Amino acid sequence: MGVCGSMRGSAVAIELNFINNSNDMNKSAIVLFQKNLASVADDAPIAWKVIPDSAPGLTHRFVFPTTIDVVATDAEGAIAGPVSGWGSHYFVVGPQSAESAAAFGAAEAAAGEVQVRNALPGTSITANIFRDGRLLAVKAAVPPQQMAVFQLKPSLWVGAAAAVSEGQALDPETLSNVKTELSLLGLASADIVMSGGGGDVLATPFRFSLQNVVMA
Amino acid sequence: MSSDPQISRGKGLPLLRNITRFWTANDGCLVFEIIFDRAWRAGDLDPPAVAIVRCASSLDERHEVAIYEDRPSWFAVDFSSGYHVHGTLRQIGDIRIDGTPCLTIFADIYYRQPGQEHLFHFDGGMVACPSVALTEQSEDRVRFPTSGRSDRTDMRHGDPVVIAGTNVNQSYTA
Repeated sequence: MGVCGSMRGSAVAIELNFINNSNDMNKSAIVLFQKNLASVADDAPIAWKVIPDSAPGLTHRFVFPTTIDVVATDAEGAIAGPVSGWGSHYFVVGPQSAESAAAFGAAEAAAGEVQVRNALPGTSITANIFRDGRLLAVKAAVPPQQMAVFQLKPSLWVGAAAAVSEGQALDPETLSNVKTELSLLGLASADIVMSGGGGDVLATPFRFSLQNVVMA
Repeated sequence: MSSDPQISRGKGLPLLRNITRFWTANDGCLVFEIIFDRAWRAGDLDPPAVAIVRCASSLDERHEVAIYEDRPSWFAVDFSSGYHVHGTLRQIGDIRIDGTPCLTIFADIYYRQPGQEHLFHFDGGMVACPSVALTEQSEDRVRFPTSGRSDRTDMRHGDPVVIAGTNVNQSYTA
């Protein structure tokens, strides 16, 4: 089994710096993730990055590469990939990746979409998308000759959470607590500043905003 | 749409085609239709971009917000469906996206779904349009910066929509 792909776009990494300026004394974990706009209701977003024990004053630097990696697994656990790409991607998973890509014409995905076609005969696959080595999105049980579609806006959802681990699907309660979407469109670097919180009657909801933005 | 005398004589009408980008939230229920004004790049006095804020469940309601480069435009909209959105929009020019200089609309908005109390927050670049797409075909246009129209009639969508006033810090209701 192999993976082959075609792509367009350019590879860069956006430098992000999380700064906790909140009054949160609970050392909440901070979760960041992307939503697959092409997903169905059963496909929960994946906790792409978790900053544990985020106390006031904490800073945490990380990068958001525009590149992604595709890894496919079949029902027997066989693994294909990773194969890297960026921008819009069209991947084919097949017995011989190059032959499969040729058979499907090595098409180009629609703008903003990652497409993973299962060209394996008679077995379903799970398509996994990784960014910076961490799981970003999953589409399970892709039947033969069908395609998993990932539509990922250049944005990160960010919020405070409890008991969440990187790579885990987010439960509805955690999702309901995440209310901020930060766009990364055109960014070279930025601070993600957390404010609000507190443990008394003056407590305010957590707020996340982009500051010190440097455009590409 | 333009103060260009050639336009008023009926020439060059294809130059009036604008470029539209869409941004949606909440599974497509809240829609921002951003119209980049090609004529603005050639000196037209209209705003460089206009946002039409719509709610998928209230298609007959359209709220227009003029977007400028030199200051953010504040707006607040309550739809009859219960959706609420407020915040600011601003255009920033020639930001490189995938290596291409683009006009980009930045937003700092809060929106609320019907029946909900909490607000969602969106901060950052909303949509972008390659700058060259707005300047091509219009480089031979003559700039007449002092000969703008006396009214603010917007002809982009067929039937004229009157945009009341020129104060950028208000929301415009079509």
